[in-house]
Amino acid sequence: MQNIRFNFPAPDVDPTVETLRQDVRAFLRGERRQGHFRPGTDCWCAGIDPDFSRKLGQRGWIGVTWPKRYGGQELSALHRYVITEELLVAGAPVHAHWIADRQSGPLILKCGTESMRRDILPRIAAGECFIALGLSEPGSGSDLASVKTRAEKADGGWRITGTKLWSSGAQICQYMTVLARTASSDAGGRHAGLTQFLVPLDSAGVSIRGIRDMSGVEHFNETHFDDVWVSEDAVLGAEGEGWQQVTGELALERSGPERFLSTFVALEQACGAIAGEELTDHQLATLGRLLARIRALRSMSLGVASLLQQGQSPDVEAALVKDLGTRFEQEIIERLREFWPITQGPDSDNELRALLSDSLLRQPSFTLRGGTNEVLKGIIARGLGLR
Amino acid sequence: MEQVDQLILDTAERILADHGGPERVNQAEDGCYPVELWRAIEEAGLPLAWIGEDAGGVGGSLELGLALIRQSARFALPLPLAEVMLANWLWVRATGQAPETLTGFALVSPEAVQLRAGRLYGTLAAVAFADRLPQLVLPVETDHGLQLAVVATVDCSLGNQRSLAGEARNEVTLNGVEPVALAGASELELDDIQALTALVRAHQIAGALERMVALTVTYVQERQQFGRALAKFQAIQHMVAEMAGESALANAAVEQAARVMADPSAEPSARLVAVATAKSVTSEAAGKVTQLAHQAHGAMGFSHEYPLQQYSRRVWCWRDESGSEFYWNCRLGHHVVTQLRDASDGERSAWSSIAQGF
Ligand SMILES: Cc1cc2nc3c(=O)[nH]c(=O)nc-3n(C[C@H](O)[C@H](O)[C@H](O)COP(=O)(O)OP(=O)(O)OC[C@H]3O[C@@H](n4cnc5c(N)ncnc54)[C@H](O)[C@@H]3O)c2cc1C
Repeated sequence: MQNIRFNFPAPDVDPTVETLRQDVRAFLRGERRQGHFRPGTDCWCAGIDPDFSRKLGQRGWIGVTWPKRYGGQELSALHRYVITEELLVAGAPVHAHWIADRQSGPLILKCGTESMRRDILPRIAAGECFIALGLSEPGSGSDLASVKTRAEKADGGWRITGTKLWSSGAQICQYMTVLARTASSDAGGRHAGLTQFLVPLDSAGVSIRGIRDMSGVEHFNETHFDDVWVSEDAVLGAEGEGWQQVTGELALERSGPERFLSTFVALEQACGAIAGEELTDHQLATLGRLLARIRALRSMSLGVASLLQQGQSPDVEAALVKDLGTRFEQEIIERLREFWPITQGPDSDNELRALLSDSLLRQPSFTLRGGTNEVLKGIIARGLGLR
Repeated sequence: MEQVDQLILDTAERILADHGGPERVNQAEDGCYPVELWRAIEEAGLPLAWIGEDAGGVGGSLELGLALIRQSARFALPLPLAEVMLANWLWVRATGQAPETLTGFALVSPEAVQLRAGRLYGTLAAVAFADRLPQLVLPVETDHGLQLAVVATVDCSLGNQRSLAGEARNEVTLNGVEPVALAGASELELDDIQALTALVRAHQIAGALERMVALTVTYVQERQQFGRALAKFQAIQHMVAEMAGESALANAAVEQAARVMADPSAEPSARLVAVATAKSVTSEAAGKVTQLAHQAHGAMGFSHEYPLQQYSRRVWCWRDESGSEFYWNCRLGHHVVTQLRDASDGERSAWSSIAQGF
């Protein structure tokens, strides 16, 4: 009988991790006190503030794991983890640099040309260069391999034509990683013939249109590429490696603390708001349950981070974190409704009520972005040998 | 986990697989106590995992012992390995020595038993395997603080109660029983004992859930309907993925809690938070995984012969023993809210209460 064991190794902790945590906390308290930001829900998606990202860059808190010669600090994955979780629970406006720090930067480090690394990574680390993900299209969502955007060799480079949809933050980004078809899918299966390009968004023929989401934020975009020329150097890795790159990033993308802490600010405010009151056991148990589950999800997510650091590829475990975590960050709001009914819009003067409303309006996206939960379950099932 | 530890776990797995198994478990429930299995377990020294080598034990870490208990639950072990390990752990911590006779463990609320003029009075509800163990150790609150009393079970009167899984959970009445041994609890607090007991049950649940997922994976691959394996239906795939998630979450929680409990520098509040998390998450998962596993198995899973029920009945029992998820959720909520309330500097947050350590 097949025995399934999910064991999550303990992270290697060194004392500088806690010092860093305290530094980040002190910085965030200061910023809040000075009114530089208001805690927002889903801040890693909805909180766009390039100035704030620049401040983090100046402190050296972006790209911390990268080599020093590319602007990094050569710190551990756990250092990065602690920075990100503290930013999330504070509800800090971190979207501008989030994708570049988490995913595009590491991709460039791994697959980019040397000039990309020297030129772009230090600017990302400084909080001055942001990157959007160009994967989804009007006709391609879960079935990503069906993308229609095409790139063809021309004039010593490539010409790209197509439409990317839902790209978060593209309106403030300097670059987009664009997944395009460079060879027909008949040869070598539908996952072959896909290539990723790093496209400067100020290239001729690129047009970006903001799309307002149901919570009122204009954070994602529709981007048209009309015969956009990019140099040969814009290819990430080698031609035809696009699919492996996109799926190779997934463990990184799916297991981080942003997959269960998007609505934590609301829970934190709720705990603060009722701490002074006489609480029933039922209220205490409701809060306690949410906190217990967050702790367990955090242990699991840290365990995946340790597996990644050990050089393993815990894709299934990462999918488990995201499936459980994203449903859970929705559930937090559903539970808190019992004590704070949500009827008003998010512009309420009451901070907690505003956060709850805003969380509710944003929560349908949690289980969609970065691969829907149905797709994730399919990956888990495949990992278990069912498909 | 060190290499020696892995060796011990492998030995345990072999014993449990060779001498245990679904048939044994059913026989044990029918009153045929698996003597040979217990002998093999004792010969391998497993009950002495938490006893130091100087006291004749294995000298295993807290984590090893808990891993062993998780391992035993993967086989639905119908024997008091966990209880004896707990009793040994307690007695060694208090006296520096292992008990000479096989001893089980009864955790009681301090009010349930009184020590008067050297004799014990009171009733202990649902003591695991009391009718199979010559002795029990119980923490007793006395005028001289917390003490550990060892009583001979022949001196007590035992009820005949069984757990949901058909394991002995006897009501034990102490009607002026003279302890065969009494020791101060040294630095142990009732909270620590309660926490370790809950963590033991949490590990048992986590182990059993792993096996329930594995049973389900195998079953849905073998069982065919509508001309294909159940595993090929997306609805079934999603059910199994959901079970795997709950099982993995349970594992992550119990492993993290074991690390915290084993860390001598961890504060009591960190231990409380870690154990509350582990028991809450595993107890909740017990309900979800059981429901899904049975749904995926159809009528076969409802039959007595098929082993799934041995696990479902155990986790249903364990989830409510040593505090259900409702109990521990409440404790955790109370702890965090109290810390927030007592904070004078305004810098305390719920987050800082739950995110200490890793
Ligand atoms: C807030 C937000 C930010 C985003 N940011 C970006 C970004 O920066 N860059 C980017 O490229 N994309 C982005 N996306 C897009 C995201 O990746 C897609 O929404 C996602 O991949 C799902 O695609 P879809 O929306 O087209 O849904 P569809 O694929 O059309 O799916 C609709 C429903 O059908 C289900 N479904 C589909 N296929 C199957 C199947 N085989 N079996 C069972 N169920 C199935 C899905 O699970 C879903 O429930 C973002 C989305 C959101 C909501």
